[in-house]
Amino acid sequence: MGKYVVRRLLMMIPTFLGATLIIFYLSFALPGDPTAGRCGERPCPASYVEWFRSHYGLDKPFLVQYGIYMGRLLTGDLGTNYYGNTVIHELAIRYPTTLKLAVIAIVAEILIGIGAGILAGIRRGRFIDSLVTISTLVVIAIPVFVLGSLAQMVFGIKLKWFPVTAGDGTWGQLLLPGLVLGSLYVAYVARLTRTNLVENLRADYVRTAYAKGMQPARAIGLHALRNSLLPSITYIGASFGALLGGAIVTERIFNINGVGSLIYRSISQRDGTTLVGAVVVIVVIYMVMTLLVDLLYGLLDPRLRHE
Amino acid sequence: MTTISENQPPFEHLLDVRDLHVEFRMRAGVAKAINGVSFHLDERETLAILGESGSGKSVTAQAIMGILDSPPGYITGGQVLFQGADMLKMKPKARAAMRGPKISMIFQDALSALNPVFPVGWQIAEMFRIHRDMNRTDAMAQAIRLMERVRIPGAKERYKAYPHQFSGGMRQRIMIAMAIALDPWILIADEPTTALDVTVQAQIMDLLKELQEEFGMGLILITHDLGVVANVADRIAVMYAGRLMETAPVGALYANPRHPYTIGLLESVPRLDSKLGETLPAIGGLPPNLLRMPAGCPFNPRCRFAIDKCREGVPPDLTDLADSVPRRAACWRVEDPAVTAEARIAVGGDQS
Repeated sequence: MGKYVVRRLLMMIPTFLGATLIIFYLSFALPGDPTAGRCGERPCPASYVEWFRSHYGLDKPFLVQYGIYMGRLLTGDLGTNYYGNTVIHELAIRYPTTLKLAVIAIVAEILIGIGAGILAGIRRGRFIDSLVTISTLVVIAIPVFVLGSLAQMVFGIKLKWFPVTAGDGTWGQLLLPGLVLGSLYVAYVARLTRTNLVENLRADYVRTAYAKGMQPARAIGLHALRNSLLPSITYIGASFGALLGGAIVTERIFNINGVGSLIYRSISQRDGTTLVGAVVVIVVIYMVMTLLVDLLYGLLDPRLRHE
Repeated sequence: MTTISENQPPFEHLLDVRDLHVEFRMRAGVAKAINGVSFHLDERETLAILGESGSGKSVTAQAIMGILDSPPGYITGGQVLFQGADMLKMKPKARAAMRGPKISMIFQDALSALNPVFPVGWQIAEMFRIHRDMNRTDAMAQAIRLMERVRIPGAKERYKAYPHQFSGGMRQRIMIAMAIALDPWILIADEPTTALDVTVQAQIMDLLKELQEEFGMGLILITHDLGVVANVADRIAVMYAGRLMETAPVGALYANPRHPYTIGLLESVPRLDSKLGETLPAIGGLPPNLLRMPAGCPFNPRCRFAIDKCREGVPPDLTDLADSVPRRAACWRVEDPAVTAEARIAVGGDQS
């Protein structure tokens, strides 16, 4: 177990290096000039551009820039962007909002996704099963920017059930965007749960459960479900890692100041420091989440325990 | 526990299956899996149900247990009398309460029959928890006692082990411990040794036999293995295409098979006195498709004795045969001297 964790942690190093190298190169290769628009309507004077480029090290070759960046990163310094703010500060003020969004989406995945999947699975072939199958297909098929705008229009503007935007990032404001963000994952979780439950209901050990004299509630609710939920739990865990990376589209639609918006802004303003810093943090979070999910899986399924 | 209190209604047999019919309603049509099967089982008796794959042995067992997958399986007729009471008329809840204390079952593949995510001891203890409302500690003590009884080495230490950590034979012992936990009247063993290698097979059969005597259980042994049957069973019921072809005490059946299907089965057993290089006889053809049953006797397309009567109308019923022991067969020609003579040749000459 301990050995396994150490091995996994060591495997994170090349992943981390690869991910940072790629994102650093992409931001380096991005066309455009970070000094554009810094001097009002006039182009910046050549002396300023030269100072700017040497101050931020932009005049150095790519690999040197990468080396300097990684050197700072090892001391925990994510850098300071062109506006004089540390990237850590930029992330710190936005992460609570992104975290709230992710939590709302995860709760929806667990309650709605698993709930609908179980209902559809035990009522296979009935109305509720068809309803779940069709509605999840619709959700999966509709792009999130359509779904988000539609939800904003219907529930925010027409019905006035929810606030139209979520600039302050309170729980109430984030509920609708969180549900929109989670809807795709909810649909996948519902389908995954249904499929696995249907399969497990036919399993030999469920027949054994009945042969042992169990009522259906226990045979299904304990024996079949325990096994059926394993893939769903893994999927939900992995989706939490992905959600913590911010949601560019949803955050844009509902005007949310989260990590997704930060990344979007850093790209459009050619703010490479912020972009690379944010992605580095997201990569680390995602890798840690994946490791936690794998460890959880071993805990839930004794056959996969890492002895 | 083997004596029955006076106020219970009298009954002839411990288990009495009468004219059982099961069908599977599928998209391709209705498969008639069990077509009027009748047999009985007494206390301490071992009945072997012998048949090929798809002959309806396991479906019969599941119908008796009440764990038939439905849909697509439906019991469309008959009675299953346990101590005189028809289990098919009971409410599902009452039926479930009988599974374990009255009648229990073990399966062919213990690895898939045990739940992979719960410790084996917990799965045995579960019997006491659901049927006897026992607390965790007492149920655990009972489970360890049972694991010791079925001779699992280091039972106490292995209580918390998972099914995949055991060998095939040990897993089947766990299944057996679970099935006998509540001291049932009847144990149905559905191909209990098919998934095991030969030496382990013998150990498991010995264990079953031993436990049957200790607990006074009636044992229904479902198998396709003529060798397993010969050593253990008291009576044999030979099944084919959802019907019983022949029932007889084990000695009489082996010494003198009467139904052409049984004759064919015994002919196909390898013999020590056969000449080197001799081809093993086999029954030609395949069992009938249950969706398209032939007219008349279901065995007629493969039967070398078949006459016109066998190919039309309704199949013959099981009828009593004239013999020194009670035995029955379902064949129009069973008393025909031609068939009788073949039967003697089949088992290697008249040994009487």
